[in-house]
Amino acid sequence: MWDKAGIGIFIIVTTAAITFAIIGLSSFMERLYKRKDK
Amino acid sequence: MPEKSFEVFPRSPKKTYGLMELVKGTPPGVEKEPEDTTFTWPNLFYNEFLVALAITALLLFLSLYVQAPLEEEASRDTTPNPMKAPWYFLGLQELLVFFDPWIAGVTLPVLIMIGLMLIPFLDINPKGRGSYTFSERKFAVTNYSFGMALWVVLIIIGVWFRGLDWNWYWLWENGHVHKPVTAGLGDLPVMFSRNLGISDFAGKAISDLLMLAYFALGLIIPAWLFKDFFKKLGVLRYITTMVLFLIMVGIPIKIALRLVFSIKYAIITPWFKI
Repeated sequence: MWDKAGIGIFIIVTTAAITFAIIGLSSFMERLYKRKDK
Repeated sequence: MPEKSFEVFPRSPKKTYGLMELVKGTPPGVEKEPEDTTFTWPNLFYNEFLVALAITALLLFLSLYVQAPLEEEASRDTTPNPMKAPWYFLGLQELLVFFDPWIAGVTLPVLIMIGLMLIPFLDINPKGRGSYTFSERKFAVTNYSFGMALWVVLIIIGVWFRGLDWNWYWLWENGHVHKPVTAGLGDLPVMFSRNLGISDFAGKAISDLLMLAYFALGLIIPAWLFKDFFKKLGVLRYITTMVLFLIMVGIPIKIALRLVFSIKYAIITPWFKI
């Protein structure tokens, strides 16, 4: 049972982590470029 | 003091000018000062060309100095267990665990390609063109990142978490020991009819209705919650976007149904099973 739940949690956490990593990178680049423009 | 005026694109006497086409909308240069804009050629192309050269050099270096992890010559007497595709195909191979071959191998890849091709027609948000922005394109960036992440996760699972007989092996488990055969998988309609003590037809009807409800609510609730989003897109564009989105979200749901709840198929029809 815990093995199965672990697989579910692993998939959710990894997918969320990668999604937020890409979003974070996108936000970071946005801030970086806005600062450059000023 | 009178405002200084200058010509943005001075007329060249060497060229002839003609009206080519009338297009509705505002060009991306509107409200931008001339010093705020730059030409694609040579400014952008020059940088891109340099990056392409650098990447080519890097690949050349890698191919010369890093040995490819090739296995020994194939033998007809032994079939490797597990038989894994190259890493970039493992996402697709992993999908085959959860869907019928023609759905995982044909329908879903075709839908992904059609969805990617439709992006310019579905995404009509004019903000953030030619610049990095998340704050002005939250839905688009999140949506795309999620799809990308899902594909990467499937590859990660295929590369590191699949072992003998394509069973799930955690990194700390011994990958050379066969796992005991666990209880088989069941179909959702059968589970409904058995557990609720109803007929097969009623069980099938419940699972079909659940699927219909998923798509119906997935279309209605966002339109109701985000009225501006719905209005901006229009009915056809909204439905196409949301159906593609719901199919994408449906993939991890189906994966969870199988891995966590041991459900093989949620929908059974004479033509296809999902």
